Amino acid sequence: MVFDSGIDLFLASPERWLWSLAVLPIIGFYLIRTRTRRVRVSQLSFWSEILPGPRKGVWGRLPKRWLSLFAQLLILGLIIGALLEPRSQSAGRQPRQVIVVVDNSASMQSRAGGGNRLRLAVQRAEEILNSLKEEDRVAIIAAAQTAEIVCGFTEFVTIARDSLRAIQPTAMPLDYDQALKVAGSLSREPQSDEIFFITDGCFDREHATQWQASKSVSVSIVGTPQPNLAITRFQTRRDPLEPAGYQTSVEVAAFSSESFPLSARLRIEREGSLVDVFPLRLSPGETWRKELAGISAAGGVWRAALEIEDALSLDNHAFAVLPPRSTRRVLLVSDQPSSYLLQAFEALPLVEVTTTTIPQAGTEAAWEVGDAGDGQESTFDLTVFHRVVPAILPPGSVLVIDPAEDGCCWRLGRSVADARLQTARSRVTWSGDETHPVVRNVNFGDLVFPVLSTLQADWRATPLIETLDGQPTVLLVPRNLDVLQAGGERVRGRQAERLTARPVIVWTMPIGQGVLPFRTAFPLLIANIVDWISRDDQAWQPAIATGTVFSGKVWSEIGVFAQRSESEMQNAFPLGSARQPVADRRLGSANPAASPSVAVNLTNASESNLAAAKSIPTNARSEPRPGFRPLWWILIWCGVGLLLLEWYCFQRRIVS
Amino acid sequence: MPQPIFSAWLWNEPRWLWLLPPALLVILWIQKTNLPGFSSPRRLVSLVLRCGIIALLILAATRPARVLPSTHRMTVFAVDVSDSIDAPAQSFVRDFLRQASSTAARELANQAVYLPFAATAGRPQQEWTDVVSFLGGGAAAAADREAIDGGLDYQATNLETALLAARALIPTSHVPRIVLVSDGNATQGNLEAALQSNHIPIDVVPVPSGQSPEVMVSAIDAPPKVRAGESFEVEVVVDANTDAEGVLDLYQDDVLVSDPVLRQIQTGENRFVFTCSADDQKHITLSARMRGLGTRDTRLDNNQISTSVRATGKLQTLLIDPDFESLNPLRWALESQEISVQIRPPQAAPDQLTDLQAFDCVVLSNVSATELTVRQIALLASYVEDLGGGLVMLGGDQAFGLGGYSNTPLEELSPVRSKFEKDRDDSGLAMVLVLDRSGSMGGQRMAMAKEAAIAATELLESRDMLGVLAFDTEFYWVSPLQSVQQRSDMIRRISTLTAGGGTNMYPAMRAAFVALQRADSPRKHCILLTDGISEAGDFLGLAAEMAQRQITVTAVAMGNEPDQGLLEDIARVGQGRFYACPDPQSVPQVFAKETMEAGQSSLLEEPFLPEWKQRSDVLSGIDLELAPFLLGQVATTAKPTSDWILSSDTGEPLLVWWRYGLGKTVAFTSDAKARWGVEWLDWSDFPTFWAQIIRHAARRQTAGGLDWFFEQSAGSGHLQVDVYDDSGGFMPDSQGALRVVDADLNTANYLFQPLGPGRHQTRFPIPQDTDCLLEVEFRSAGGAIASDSRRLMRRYPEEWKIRPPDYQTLRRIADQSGGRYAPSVAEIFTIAGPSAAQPFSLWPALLMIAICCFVVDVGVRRMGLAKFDGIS
Repeated sequence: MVFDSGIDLFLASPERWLWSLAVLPIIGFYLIRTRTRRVRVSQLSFWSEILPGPRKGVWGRLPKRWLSLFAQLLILGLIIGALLEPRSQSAGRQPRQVIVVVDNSASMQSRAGGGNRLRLAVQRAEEILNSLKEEDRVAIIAAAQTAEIVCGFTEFVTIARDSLRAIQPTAMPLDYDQALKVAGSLSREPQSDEIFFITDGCFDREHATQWQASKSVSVSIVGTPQPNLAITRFQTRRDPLEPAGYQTSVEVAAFSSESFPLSARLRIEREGSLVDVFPLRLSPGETWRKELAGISAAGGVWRAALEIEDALSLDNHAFAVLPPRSTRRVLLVSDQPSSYLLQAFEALPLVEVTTTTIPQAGTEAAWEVGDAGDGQESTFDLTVFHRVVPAILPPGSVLVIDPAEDGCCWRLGRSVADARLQTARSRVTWSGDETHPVVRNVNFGDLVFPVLSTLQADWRATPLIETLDGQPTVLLVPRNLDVLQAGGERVRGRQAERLTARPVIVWTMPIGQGVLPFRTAFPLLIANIVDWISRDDQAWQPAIATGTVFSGKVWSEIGVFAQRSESEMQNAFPLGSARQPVADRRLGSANPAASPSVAVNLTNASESNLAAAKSIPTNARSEPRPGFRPLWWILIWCGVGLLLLEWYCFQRRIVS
Repeated sequence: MPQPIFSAWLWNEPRWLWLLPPALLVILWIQKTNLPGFSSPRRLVSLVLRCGIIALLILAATRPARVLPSTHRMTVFAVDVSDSIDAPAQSFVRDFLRQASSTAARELANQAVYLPFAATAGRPQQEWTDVVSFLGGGAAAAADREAIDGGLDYQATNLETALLAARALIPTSHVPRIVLVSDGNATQGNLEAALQSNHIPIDVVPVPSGQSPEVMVSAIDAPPKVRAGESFEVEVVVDANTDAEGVLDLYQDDVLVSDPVLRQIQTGENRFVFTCSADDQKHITLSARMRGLGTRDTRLDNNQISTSVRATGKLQTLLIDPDFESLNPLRWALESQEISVQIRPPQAAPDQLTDLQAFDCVVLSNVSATELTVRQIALLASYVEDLGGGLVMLGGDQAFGLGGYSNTPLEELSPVRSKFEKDRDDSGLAMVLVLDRSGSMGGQRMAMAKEAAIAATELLESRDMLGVLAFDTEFYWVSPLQSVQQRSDMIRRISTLTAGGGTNMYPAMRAAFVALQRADSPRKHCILLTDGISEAGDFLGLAAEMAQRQITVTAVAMGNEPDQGLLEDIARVGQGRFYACPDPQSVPQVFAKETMEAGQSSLLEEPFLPEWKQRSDVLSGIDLELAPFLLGQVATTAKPTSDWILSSDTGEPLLVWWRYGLGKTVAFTSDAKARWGVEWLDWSDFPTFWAQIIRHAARRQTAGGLDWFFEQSAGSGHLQVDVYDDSGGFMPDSQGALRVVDADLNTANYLFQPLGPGRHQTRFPIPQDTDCLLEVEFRSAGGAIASDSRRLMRRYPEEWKIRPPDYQTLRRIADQSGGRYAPSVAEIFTIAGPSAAQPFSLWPALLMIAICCFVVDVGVRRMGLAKFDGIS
């Protein structure tokens, strides 16, 4: 029902018109009270009414009675009017739909005004709530890497306020676009809904595509610029050249809007042992980087800590996990074990060699578990057959030296006399280097074999070393083509499974003929082969950033996490939390082959730049639009006032 | 969202309660002076009632509410309507929704909403039949769909958007439930983020998609790099969910290299191997296509896939010359220096960036800008600037200014600038431009004509004269023949030219002749520009008369409509030149070339010996003292920031180069063939000289190496790179950038962020619907450079891949949200899980009580309490 009063009103609850029937008893009481009736009075009263004299005018009593009736009807009308819920149809007086997005990312934990920036943001949000009036609806979103709707649209500010105060800070960076996406999903009327984004401005604005693009978002900045030193990168990984080597990189940045430098000490530890301490003195905007290199087969947890009391402590710690370099297990199978071959392997670091002879007839060989090229586990990383031709290849990498006959995946070619060798021109190049890693740095300049068998190259095989006339003597035979192409190239899911299928290297060059130059090149070849087959193993377990989604989990806390089961990740190093550390602080799970620990750090320059807020112009609409009181609420107070006035007038006989 | 508190009281504005005590005090104070003379009981009742009314009203103003458990439920059915939902799956969805809606109709307290989604969420529907109309929408015409679904993109599945949109539909006062009807194969969106922020139970109904017979070419695997001239294997992966047979074609750069034999396709994965060779190409595009499958294949869009292979080896050089046979000596010289050479005429120059990318260096030998299309010129600019290619410009009578390079990207690329030699002999030029302004010249044509006229104005010297005539059925002087000193006024007048009218060129041509005849200039030239067929006139007679008077006439035909034969004859008789310009954008170049050509004095055809201007290691080992004569060159001026290496003995630039963007350009103002360089062809250092020039200009060879780790999803690419130095270790202190160039030459740059020792990463949006080139370059603090490039081939959407339903993801959604996996229809509508709270405002009830109390109060005052009152 629309009440066309010409003042653009409509009634939200017109069915309550029935309550206007309450005027009937009011009027009835008045009529009953003022009717002419026979009244027994005293003689004095009678004669005072009959005899002339100063008489109270009828005309004086009538207005009082009418005034009384009018006042009562007016009061009733005000209350009934309020009950009908009159509302304005004009756009400016429509109920507001307000979405308040509160940034609870890592930077909001920085100190500010006796508390932290999150507290300031909550206060600012409460100011917005206080500006809301009846019929206005508000929703609250807490935004970090993920955005959470902590309170859906409600007209009850109390509910919204309780939800607001329950927002907890996180260690994650802010994803501005994601927050706006969630806020936008709530908004039914994008043209009129108001979105207030309360943040300190410390997030990656460069990649926030919605930043400055969305005109309907009012951004409110809290917090003042503060100087801050932060660890913005901390990673460790295995050296590509040295089997037991590692490289650790650390980066510290200074953020400040002032001009004075920031000083601190950076402490680097590995497994609790001090590695180094660096005194730092950085100018605002300066970045300090350091690469640490060393040799250690053991892995472990690295920790970097800035010894400084600054505004944000979250970024003063970082972790990195160095995978251990496991020993490469090599099995030498030969009917005539060569001490030279054995020594070549034993001379290599992190190589454990086991020798065995060929089994007796009727017995099962240890390696005869079938050509399980697709991911089956092998006891040995490399099985070397010296002058032995296995009927079935074991899983794992295989090196066949000087086979006397054809094998399951190679065929012998013709013999060549006075054979000189060269690195084969590979059809496929790896990275920018056009020689295969196996033959890198190997020089065959003066190498001559009196007699040398060659190999026939299957279309899938790649020659690595060949005679001068192109007859291959060392072949790389993959069990699956993908392995050949996988050198240095990350492969897709299906192919990734086949990475576990190891190649077969076959070479015909005998190692017992006493050719001196070959004795120089041979150990290098062996070292290259061992390095190559284990190149991608356990090279790097990168530290990830808070907010990363990994294995279906959003990583929101800083620390090192160890996996105890398929689905459970346990924090092995709680960072100053009230929780008790787990009893078992060993890294990794019971099965060492399972995924190792994961280091999670903030390492986000945007979050750590606490001076960023200074450079952000606030939106012109950062102040909430004033709400309007609903009419019924005003009518109620009018009714209260009129009731008091009428009471006063009645008691003073102004109305009767 | 926090769990609602049931049976709780809420006060939204309790602060107004502070007005209650003062109000009551006022009532009490007023009551003290009781004039009406009520009896005590009556006074007390009246007081209590009045206080009660006031209290009720003030209480109502504080907006109290009572929170009670809500019995209303809303169930949002988020229905996947993307392309992966094939016909059998659509039937399943249809049946399910039919059952669900009939059950929902019986549940009075349950409200059901149906939300279709694919890449985005569609409009929520109240009826299940409306959602069903979305199924298969991807196959319908776009115009039809727009009216129904607002242009929903069916080529992707975004579960995140669907869940967010579904959640937004449910009011807080309703018990929420989301039912996700999908196959779970999300191709976009961050599902984890949506699940993290979700507190509504999601029941999951897995849709058994992928049952229609389907064969697709899912991958083509080839080594990213091969050595030039070598063969390599290419493996094509064909996935199928049914047995079939078809023909698998493999194309290498549009050439079919496979045998058209029928191949048996088995259910599952099928791999086919082909052998290809790199030959002399730099970049090879391999495309695999499956055909002839008949009814065993439902979708044909996923039957083709491409990849790119890069061949390393010899330097690849492209020589472009209109008279390409004359470049044979240069070709032989370069090939003797282990440089591969291809020679093409200008019209065969590459017009695709990926084709140009196959070469390390491009040589333009006496190529006029008018012989190249606008796109070819733009391609060259991008090739040098964005991709680091090398460009060598050789001189000739159609090169540099004489070739119309002015105001083209070629002039910007060139390290030299053309110059007139009128400075030498103080001779002036009088030129009249006769421009067609008929109605057909509207739009771009008129804009190009004006631009051409302005270009001519700017090129002329102050001692020259220029006039501009415009004609339609009549003619008028836009700018009379006058000295170019009034250049700005001329340009302003030219800018006012508009189109409209017929075409009658003869009177305008005669007016130009009359004006030129009167001009006092040794050189006189007239340029006619028209796009239509003029009314009749003695054009050839007039042209002959003009030629007799030493007035040359050039004719330019714009578009395909003009009478080109007539214009050609006019130019021939008028001893000028004829240009056909089907593309209006090439007209300004023609005018610039003509203006320079009319000057005709940029050529210096006198023998000279080259001299060092600035020694360079690039030409180390070349004994320039023994270099023979060159017989001519084009007069140019070296640009300020260029490296001027050689000059003539008269001080004119001969060899100049500079870096332009990522690449280099070299200008050699003489030529490398028999016209001016005839003696050089026999010079012993001729091959070495040019080989070293080419190697200097060519795309640099990289040091160290890069390992690429590339993933793409939802239109975004994530690239991680390991950077190695020459020794194989990580390149220290390196910084890198990624440049993405699409087929339209749009370029975007992205910086790499260091991730760890030797590892860098960047993210970038992948250009849609186009192939693109990815160029990566890293530089270390020590100056070492590692670079590499890859081609990213356009692929069909992930949505079109054969995949079984992702039951694992669907189950995880249900488990993580507290919902149920594959519930029955009846189970969906059973109340389970969290409930909702419905706050009820109490102020209306308080007002109603206040009204009742007020009526009683008035009654007490008017009527009194008979029991307690005496006589009233």
